[in-house]
Amino acid sequence: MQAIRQQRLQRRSSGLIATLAATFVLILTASQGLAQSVCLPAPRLLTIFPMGVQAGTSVEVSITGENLEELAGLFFSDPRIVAVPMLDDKQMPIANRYRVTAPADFAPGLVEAFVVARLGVSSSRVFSIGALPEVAQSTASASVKDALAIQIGSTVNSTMIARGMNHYRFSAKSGQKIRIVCGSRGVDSKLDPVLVLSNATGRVLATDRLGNGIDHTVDQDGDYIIKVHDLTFQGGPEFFYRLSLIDLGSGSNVSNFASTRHVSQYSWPPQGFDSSRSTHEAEPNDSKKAQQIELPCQISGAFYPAADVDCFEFKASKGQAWWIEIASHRLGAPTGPAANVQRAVSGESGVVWQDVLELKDIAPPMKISSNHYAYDGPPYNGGSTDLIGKFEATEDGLYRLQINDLFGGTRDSLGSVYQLVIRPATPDFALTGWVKHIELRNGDRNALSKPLALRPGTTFALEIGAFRRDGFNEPIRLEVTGLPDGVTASVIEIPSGQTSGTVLLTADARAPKGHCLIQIKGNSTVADQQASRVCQFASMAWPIRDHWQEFPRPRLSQVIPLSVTDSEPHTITIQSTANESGNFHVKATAGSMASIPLHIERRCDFSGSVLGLNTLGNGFQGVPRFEIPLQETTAEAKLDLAKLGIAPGTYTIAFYGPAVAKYRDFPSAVNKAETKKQLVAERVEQLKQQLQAVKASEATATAATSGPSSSTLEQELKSAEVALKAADNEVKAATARSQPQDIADIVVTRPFTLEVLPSEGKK
Amino acid sequence: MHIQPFRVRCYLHSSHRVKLLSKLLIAFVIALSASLLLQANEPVDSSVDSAISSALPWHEAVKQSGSIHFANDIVPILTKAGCNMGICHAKAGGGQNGFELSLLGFEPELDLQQIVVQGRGRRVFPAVPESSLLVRKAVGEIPHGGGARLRVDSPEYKLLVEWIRRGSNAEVNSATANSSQLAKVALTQVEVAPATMLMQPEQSLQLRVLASYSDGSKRDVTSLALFESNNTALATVSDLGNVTCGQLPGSAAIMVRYQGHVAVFRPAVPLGPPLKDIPSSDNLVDQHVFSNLQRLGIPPSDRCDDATFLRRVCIDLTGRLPTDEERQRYWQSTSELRRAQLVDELLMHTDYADYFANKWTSLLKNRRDDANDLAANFAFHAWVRDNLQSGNPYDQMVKQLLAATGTIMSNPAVAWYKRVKDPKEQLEDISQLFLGVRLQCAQCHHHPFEKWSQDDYYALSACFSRVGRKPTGVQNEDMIFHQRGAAVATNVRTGQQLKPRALGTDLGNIEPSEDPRLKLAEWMRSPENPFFARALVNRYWKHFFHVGLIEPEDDIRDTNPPSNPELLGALESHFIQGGFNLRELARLLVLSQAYQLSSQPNDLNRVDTQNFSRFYPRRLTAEVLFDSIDQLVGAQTTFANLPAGTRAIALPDNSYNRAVPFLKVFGRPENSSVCECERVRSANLAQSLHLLNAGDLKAKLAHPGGLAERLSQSTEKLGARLEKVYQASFCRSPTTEEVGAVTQFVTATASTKQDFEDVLWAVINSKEFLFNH
Repeated sequence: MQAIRQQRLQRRSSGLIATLAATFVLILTASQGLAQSVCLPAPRLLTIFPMGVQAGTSVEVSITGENLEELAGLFFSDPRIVAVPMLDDKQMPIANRYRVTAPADFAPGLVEAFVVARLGVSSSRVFSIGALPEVAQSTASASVKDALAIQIGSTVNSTMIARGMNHYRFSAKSGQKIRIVCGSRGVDSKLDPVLVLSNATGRVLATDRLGNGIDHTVDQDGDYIIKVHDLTFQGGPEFFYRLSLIDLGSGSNVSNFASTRHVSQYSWPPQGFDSSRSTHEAEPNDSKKAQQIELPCQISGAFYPAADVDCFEFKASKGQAWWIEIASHRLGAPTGPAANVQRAVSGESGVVWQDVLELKDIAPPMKISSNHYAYDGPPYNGGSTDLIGKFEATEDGLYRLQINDLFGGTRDSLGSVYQLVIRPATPDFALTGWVKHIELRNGDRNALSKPLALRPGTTFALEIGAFRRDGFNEPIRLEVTGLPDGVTASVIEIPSGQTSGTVLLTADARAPKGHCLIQIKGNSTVADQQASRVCQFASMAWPIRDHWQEFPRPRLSQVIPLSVTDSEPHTITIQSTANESGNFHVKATAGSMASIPLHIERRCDFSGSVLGLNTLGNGFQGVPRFEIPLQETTAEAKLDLAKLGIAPGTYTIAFYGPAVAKYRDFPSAVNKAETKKQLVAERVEQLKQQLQAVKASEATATAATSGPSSSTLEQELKSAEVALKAADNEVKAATARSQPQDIADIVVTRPFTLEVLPSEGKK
Repeated sequence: MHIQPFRVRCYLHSSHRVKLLSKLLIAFVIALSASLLLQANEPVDSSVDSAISSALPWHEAVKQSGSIHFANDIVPILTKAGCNMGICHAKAGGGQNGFELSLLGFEPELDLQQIVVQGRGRRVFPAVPESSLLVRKAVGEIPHGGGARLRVDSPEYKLLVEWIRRGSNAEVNSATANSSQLAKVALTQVEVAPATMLMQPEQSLQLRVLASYSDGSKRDVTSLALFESNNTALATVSDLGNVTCGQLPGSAAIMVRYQGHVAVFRPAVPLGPPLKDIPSSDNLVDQHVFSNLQRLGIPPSDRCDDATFLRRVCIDLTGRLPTDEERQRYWQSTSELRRAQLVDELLMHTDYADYFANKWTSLLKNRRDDANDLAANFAFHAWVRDNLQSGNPYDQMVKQLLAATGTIMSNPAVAWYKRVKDPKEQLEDISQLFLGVRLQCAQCHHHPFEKWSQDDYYALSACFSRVGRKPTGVQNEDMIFHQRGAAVATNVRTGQQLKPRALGTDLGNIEPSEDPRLKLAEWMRSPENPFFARALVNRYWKHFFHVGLIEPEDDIRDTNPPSNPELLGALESHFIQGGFNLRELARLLVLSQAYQLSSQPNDLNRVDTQNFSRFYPRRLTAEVLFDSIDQLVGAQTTFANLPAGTRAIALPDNSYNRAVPFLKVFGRPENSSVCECERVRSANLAQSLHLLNAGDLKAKLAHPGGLAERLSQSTEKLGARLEKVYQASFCRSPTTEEVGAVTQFVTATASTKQDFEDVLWAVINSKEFLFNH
């Protein structure tokens, strides 16, 4: 009995556990289902297939993406690349298909493609212009027997399927030198390619998992197999790649694919730098036999072989100052240079080298994300493992610069190249920027990749980071050019000694629809002359909606497309009250409590009753977060100028914070779909009546009538009924899509200028 | 109804186990005696004997020197008396009643403090040294938890008293002694005489222990040395070093310890007369194995047949059964070299790389604790596999791992530093895995059975002291780099800053910009390194021969001697001279006649389990068994994130153990330890039940389109169909009895798919299938 009771108890307890577990799962699922997403809908160009075209040819491409309704066209960062819509038999555009043409004189490389849709410009996708004939693989070649035959001297565009691999067969002659390269991460793909070269018997000849490609000299005539798969066997449309098989002996100058540039590369090269003027390091140049150099100098070298240490000796006089900069990581090499300067000191036991300087990594212009679940800063790392530092000779004598690769202890790669520049101080600056995001305890990084697709009444904030070379300390004034009508730019300049500023782009509530390419510049005084430097814009290759599963991959963009849509206004507009002349300008006295009246125009419901706002503006970062009521139409922001220590002057200020909108996506599509459904329904009804009449006529008439027969009408009716079903589904889909959903996004108030006047006593 | 004839009891009843254990015990005895007999027959170096004969007993030597050195003369007395054992005053956390000594006297300076200074100096009373607490407790004049440890008339007691009388300093001298010279005297070596001895049952022998000092002096320290037998059933040893053999033939190791130094006496009792004929061979493995067997009088088994070799070597090199094509090619070959050709073919096969990558990634802790580990684990596994496939020399592979820098995606070897973050764990793993040295003890105290001190431990950890980390864009993944600066580590006990040293070997001057790990890697691959090549060849020997020359394979120390030192030495040299070529080593081993011996014992070698007179069968590992079943029955298992057709031996990490219970039941490791012992090789009830009636096994047997279905639909004669089953399973044809039994069963039940599932089930449950033999 005891045992039976025990069993019952166990069953009961296990049932209870099961119930609790089920409840937990239910709650979890429900919470996930109801979880708010981040970022209002924006057009995203996700894939183009094929991903490139040979210069001098054209290719039919298909595109996929998000929010691509009402496409106005496919555009490229270089206007010489042209896309025209593909037409069907009735000369109507085929959805999402274009013919892309590249001129014959277009140098192999990358351009960026983007589309303009209902909501404006899309995020961009890299498109390659190649030198070799291109092949678009349409079906997977999962096994050796299904291997796709390719020619040496060609490029295959393909997509990897999940848990799959593709095989390629080619013939080669003994002695032929070939290179196999696979473009993937560098052309925006999510694929981490693995290349395996084997002979016809399956014997592996070479493998590459690091993206270096395979160089191989064929040892006998025959067929060879290339296998391609993802490192973790992931796949899908986003896992595309370009595989090139190159004959190295043919004199082809195609060796590797061009790649997108990572953000840290914005700071290289220095203005006017010409790599062709570099002299090459002369090995051996280690600590036993340093290379003698004279300053200034510009040297190219390589961290080769493994654990290579290059030493350069030079003479310097007391008081001389030189700036030393080393680029390697910013040249695209997977390196981490380290360098130190030593001084020769004579001692009892001979010359001893004493450390006088250790060069530091290039710091990011602003604190970057700690990359945890909570978003706590931009994940755009403008810093680099490259080095820069100022060397000042404290004594006359012999000095030694010793450089090595912190990551090169075991790597034998000629690709670990560097450029060393030792120059007198040449102060200058470089800029990079990206769209500002909000701090959120949410793994959704979707917003990081949003395009500059402005809704009327919205303000976008762009964070601008500066690299100050050789002690450059001047303030940097930011400027935006090429803005379309109705869009204005306000800037928060980068003050002297600081490395970050802000650009605020505002689309007026009545801004007309349009798109263009804009440019952001920094202006300052360099070498006693006015100089302008173009800001290199960074964006994310992909929208990442779950930071646990996938990490954002930032890269520099070639252009900055911007648009204004006429499809819908922004969900909310907050702005200070304009003065008589229409300017958003507020005056206050130094040391006072400045009061900023705010006007709030909501165009949908929001979660919560208040909106917490932080402040943008030089000197105003310390303003405590404050709240304004979301349900009201007016509010007031107070700035304690005394506490902030704000000096008289004019300041550009904006407030920003996260808001969760009850957003209805594309509600007008419901009407449109309903209208379409109505038309189709009417047509169905009409056909039914017509069919009924014809059938009646056919039953009574002895001779053939001139109109369509009943069987023809039945066919037409059937088609119309299918169309009606489809139209009904469209209505349902549009209705579902238009239901309010919680979307968190950054809300930036329209910027205003605050003129701080001197207080009475100080006039 | 399931057929019975093929069912073999896989697991022994307890009575059988007892018998087996008895046999194993005898076999072990034979094994050890084999190696020792080999040495016993050789001329014994008499220099130690003569040195001992001329050496003064320790107490006479001290008297003659005129000085008493605390570390050299007093500490050994305390050690011999057991004062500084772990259960007495060397007990961690305060010793006994506030009196704490270092374990086995490894830290004499601390002991001196404890005796002379601590407790306000109450333990010694120089004015009347006999009244000192230290000696009164030791002789039991006053209550002492440890009882009387010394006799009043003993030389130990007298020296202790004299030391106190003279002031109980680190070194106390007579007026005539040269103190400056004596202060530098240190113990340099301890030897035991004889080192080996061929003995008869129940014979006794008095050992003598000689201590040599840095000034060239020698002392007989027999009465102060500690003795311990590794096998008391074979030989016992008294406190004073008197060894007595038991009734059993065989050998043992008597460990002799004195002041941190170790010597080993290896007595052996031979089994029989030497063999007259042994197989001739050019293979160095055979030369040493058969020479050993010859001297021991253990006749080797016959050479195994081709079928057995084919199956055996396929499993050992590629972790799977031979494929149909391989079998056909092998059987069709008429070449005398077809075994060698097969081996070459297998060694170049991608499955070779898969199989050994499985072994190494497990030991290198390629473990998935989080979903984000996926890419790192796949990359690391692929890196190991590519190294094996490309034939990258072992020393280079270890160097690239040990001194890895960068990010995981640019250098997958960095993934090891993701898994093993603590520098102490790094040094412990590296030394155990690649050097076969277990250093864990030395973190807290001097290794009790080895020469490794805490200084050795922390000096090795200094090699990892400049491993810098920076966060990357990937969660929980750091960029690894050499952080410029002087590499030092602090001995937590002494507070001393130590420069990098590699197990007692100076690594030379290391500049701040130099990565000490590269120096360590260079030292590891040096031909003079006594551990690196030895650890690997022993590990690989065990892989192929199933019993290590040193057991366990990652515990190489003087007090754990190899069963065939000449063989181990020859393999080590071969491996170094061959450029650390793993494929070549594997080739050497599997093409030896020793490897190709039958697992069937003859009348005399049945009990041998250590001398390799026959091939020792071993159960297939979890992955190999799993794949073999799939391969036989024509099923395919789908693993998450991996392409269809991926086999269990190619799984990159431990995460699949959760999804596939079979792997867990049969002992696939969780990749949390560098010890091969994490892989469970023992049998258990769950394994039996799993093989008998687990749902996944049944599903495999009934796999649509699988072998059972194909056999049931085949129009071939039953014999031909059965031939396929036996060839695929055992590489041989079925015997007449087997054909008869199956025919009787299948005919009686009308030859349905279920019948053939039963036949396959029976085959899978046979020992012949479950074991590599």
